[in-house]
Amino acid sequence: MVWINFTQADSATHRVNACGGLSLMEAAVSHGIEGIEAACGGSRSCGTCHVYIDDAWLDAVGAPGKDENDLLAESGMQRPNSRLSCQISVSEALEEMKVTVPSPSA
Amino acid sequence: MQTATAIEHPSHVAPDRVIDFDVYQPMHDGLGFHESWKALQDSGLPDVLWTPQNGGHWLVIRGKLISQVLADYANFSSHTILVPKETAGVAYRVIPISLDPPEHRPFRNLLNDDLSPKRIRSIEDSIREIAVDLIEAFRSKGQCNFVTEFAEQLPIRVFMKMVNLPLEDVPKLKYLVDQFTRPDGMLTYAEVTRLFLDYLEPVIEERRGKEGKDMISRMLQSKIGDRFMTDAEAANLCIQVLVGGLDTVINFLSFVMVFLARSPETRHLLAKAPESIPSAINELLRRFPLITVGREITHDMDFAGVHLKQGEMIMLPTILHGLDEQENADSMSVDFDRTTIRHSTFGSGPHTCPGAFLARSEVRIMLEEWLSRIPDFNIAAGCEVGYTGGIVAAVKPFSLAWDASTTRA
Repeated sequence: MVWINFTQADSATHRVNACGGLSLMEAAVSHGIEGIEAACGGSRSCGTCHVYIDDAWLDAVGAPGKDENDLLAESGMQRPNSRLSCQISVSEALEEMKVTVPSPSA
Repeated sequence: MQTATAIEHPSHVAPDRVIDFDVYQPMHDGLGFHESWKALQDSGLPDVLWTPQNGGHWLVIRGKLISQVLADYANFSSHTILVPKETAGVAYRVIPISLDPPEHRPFRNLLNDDLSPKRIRSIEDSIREIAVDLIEAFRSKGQCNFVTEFAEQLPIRVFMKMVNLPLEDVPKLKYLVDQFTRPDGMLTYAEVTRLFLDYLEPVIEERRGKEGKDMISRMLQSKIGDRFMTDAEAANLCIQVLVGGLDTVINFLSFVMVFLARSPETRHLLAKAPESIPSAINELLRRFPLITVGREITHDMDFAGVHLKQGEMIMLPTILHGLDEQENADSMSVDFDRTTIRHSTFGSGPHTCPGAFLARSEVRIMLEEWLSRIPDFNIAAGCEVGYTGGIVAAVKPFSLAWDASTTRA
């Protein structure tokens, strides 16, 4: 199990215990993290599980692929540390990772 | 199952890759469904095989490769997902499962609206109510046919409510769905499609242009880019919705309950700590995958030591991802303390099951309500548990039995 720290748009923080192999999105949704809607169920087709990854873990999660990058760009809220949480697999390399959920319609 | 150099095979397929294996009838040597697939994976054969069955196709038996191929739409297209390509494959080209990105996405988004976690949470209470009603109907009798009295009831009642179709149509629709996923040869695929369309076309016509709030109406009210779906597209999409909604969860619930009936320790663990059920479900999903689906190869290429040719089919048993020892140690054991769980039970990539959250919710609600009411149960005496292979594997109807005095309302 791996601990992940989510900061919601309302600044509330949640420390969540996630099983390796789950996507970061699945871990967030199963713990009811607000702002991670995951409308498409992880099929990389909606962009509603957008998160910002703390710089210290950027190397560990890697860069978005092309389709993912297109969806992030469409959101209008893309930053250099943007990822879709459905495309990140939880592993020990992400222990204690800090993740921020974008503000809705920022 | 046999490897035989005598089997006819295309010249670009090396003889050591050839095996006579029917992906839709994997059971052999008296083994169960998952055990049969596992035996194939553990038989020392290469990662990618070729079988002459079902029109001849490639077969991947390693978890990591299965997940990779499922997600790689540039090399492995969803244009055809079933074998034999010329019959089942051509007949089952439905929206959105047989579309590749970018055409896939707008249609997929239509499905997403009614299946998102937010939406499913809003109907959780009604799912729970149905589950409780079903259990209470047989709890004091001390037994039930689990498949017909519960597994076929819960997901179907939930789903028929979502699409606002009458429960009395279930037998007809369930029959047609099963002809796709586990055909018994009574109808051709083309006939099944025709019967689906005969049923769906009037439904679509009646709901078009109206303000209905059900899933079908909402899909008709939504736009694909700058236009609405045509009637043909809508009917096609509805076939996929019905196949997804009326089969898979039923079978998963059945595999889980067979396992729990035979595993008192695991059952007690979950009954005593219901808060552990949500995370336990991921392990159960890993251990009991159901689906074998394919992709069509988009161009000649070398892949995992073989040469694939454009237009050939490659089959991906999702069963062999969760059960792969290279992905999950001691893979045949159910272990809720695993720190990492890898599986493709809901697929991988653009076609990842849109109903995954609904499925997880239904499994969780069943376990919470069942184990708190009927914590101890067994496979009924004299009842044999049998399986049916297919695109989606199933457990044949079986009965569970319990001492009614150990239950509570």
